[in-house]
Amino acid sequence: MTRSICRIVVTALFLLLAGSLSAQSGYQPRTVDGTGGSSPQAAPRDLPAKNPSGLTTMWVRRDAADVFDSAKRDANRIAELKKSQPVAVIAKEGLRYQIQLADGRTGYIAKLYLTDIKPVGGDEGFKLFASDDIGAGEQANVESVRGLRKGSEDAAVAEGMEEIVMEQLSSVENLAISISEDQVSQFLEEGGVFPI
Amino acid sequence: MRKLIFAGTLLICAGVVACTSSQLATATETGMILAGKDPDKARRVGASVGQFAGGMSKEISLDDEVALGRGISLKLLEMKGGLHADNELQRYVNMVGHAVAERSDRPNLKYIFGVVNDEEVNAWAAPGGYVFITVGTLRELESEAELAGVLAHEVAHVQEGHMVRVLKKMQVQTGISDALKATDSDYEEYGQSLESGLRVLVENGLPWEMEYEADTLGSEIATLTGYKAEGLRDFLGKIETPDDDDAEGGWLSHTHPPVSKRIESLGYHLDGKLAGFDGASQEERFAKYVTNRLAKK
Repeated sequence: MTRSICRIVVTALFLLLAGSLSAQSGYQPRTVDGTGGSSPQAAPRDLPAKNPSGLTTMWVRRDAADVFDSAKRDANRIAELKKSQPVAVIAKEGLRYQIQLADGRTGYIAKLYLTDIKPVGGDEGFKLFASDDIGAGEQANVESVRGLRKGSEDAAVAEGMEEIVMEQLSSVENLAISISEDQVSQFLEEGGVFPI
Repeated sequence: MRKLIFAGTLLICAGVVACTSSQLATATETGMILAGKDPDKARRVGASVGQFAGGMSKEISLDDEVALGRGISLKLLEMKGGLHADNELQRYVNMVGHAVAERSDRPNLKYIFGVVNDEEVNAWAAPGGYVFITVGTLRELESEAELAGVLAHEVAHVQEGHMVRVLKKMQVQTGISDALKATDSDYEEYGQSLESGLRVLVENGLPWEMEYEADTLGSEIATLTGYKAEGLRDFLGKIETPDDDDAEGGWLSHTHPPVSKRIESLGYHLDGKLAGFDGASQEERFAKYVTNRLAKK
């Protein structure tokens, strides 16, 4: 009986090990360039690659990255690139790299937004949240679940939570939700804070 | 022999976290068949194991994440004395918080930033985008860049789902039926989830590698927003104490890595990837909305 259990455990372990080599899950601290350290999704590293025009290809590694008309801090935004999108890099100088857009225009993008590691499957590999990439149209949903979920309110009451604390949290939730992107942009501009 | 079986079982449990439920089901089924067990029975057991693992590794919905985060936040606020009454202060912190959150990898998640009426130097991030900073921390800060650095550190925790990952792990280790429970009906299990979350926040803390990761990602997010990259490190420099490396003393020694180690680790990042970025510090506005307002109270 014991031997039998042992054999099952050992075989299952062997198969699990083999399976986990190809699995893309579990916590892996990310490296600062977002490439996943030693995680499986970091491979294959098949760069530096040259695109047909002879320029180096890199990929956008954040959800949205602004492209500007110059490398200066007060440059104008001319385009927005999406995560995993490839870009042709013309020059890697300074903090903003010069790139060529798909329509032929040239622009500048902060080097922090780019990685030379080709994304596998178009994403970072590990999916933790069911709605990790919340589209703009879903934002209303995100707001609607704030403080309005009856179940959690009832549960809080059942837990005997202080009413004053619940009111305080609702108040700051409403305040946070009332802040628009335009207000944030204006706030930054007034403070001399320029996103890169 | 029992020890061997026990170790093997533990390893399989660890495998639950690393493998998909179908992989685990197949592995169990094949293992039993190879061990000479009845194939039908093996299939049944495999399916059960797969179902169990599936429950453990399921994704958390946004609704559940927010409901869980809200519940944990309420508990935290209850414990720490509630939110500060100054609405202008709360709005200012939310402005800076939203600015950094928009540059994170979950920019459309609506974050809630709150100033907690507590003199302890601390900040917390609960699931769903609930971020809190204490009055005590604000008193230590001297610029908007430092505030942005601290808030971005917390935003990085939310972005990477650090607490959700830890709760999932606890779920496997402790056998809690659903440590991420945020349903409308079962208050007992919901309460248990909140307790687990609160324990992670204020007692056990997150694994240190997650703190280091939040430091580097947070500094990066603050830099992308347009703030001075050194904001978080400057703040950490202010709260570093001689006994910081002593496990029994020092700031947040029970929930965070030693401040000196965090500063050292951040230094490599600031001198490397973030070198050369000349962001804003903005002391004036910070003084107007934070330092001066807190001094009046």
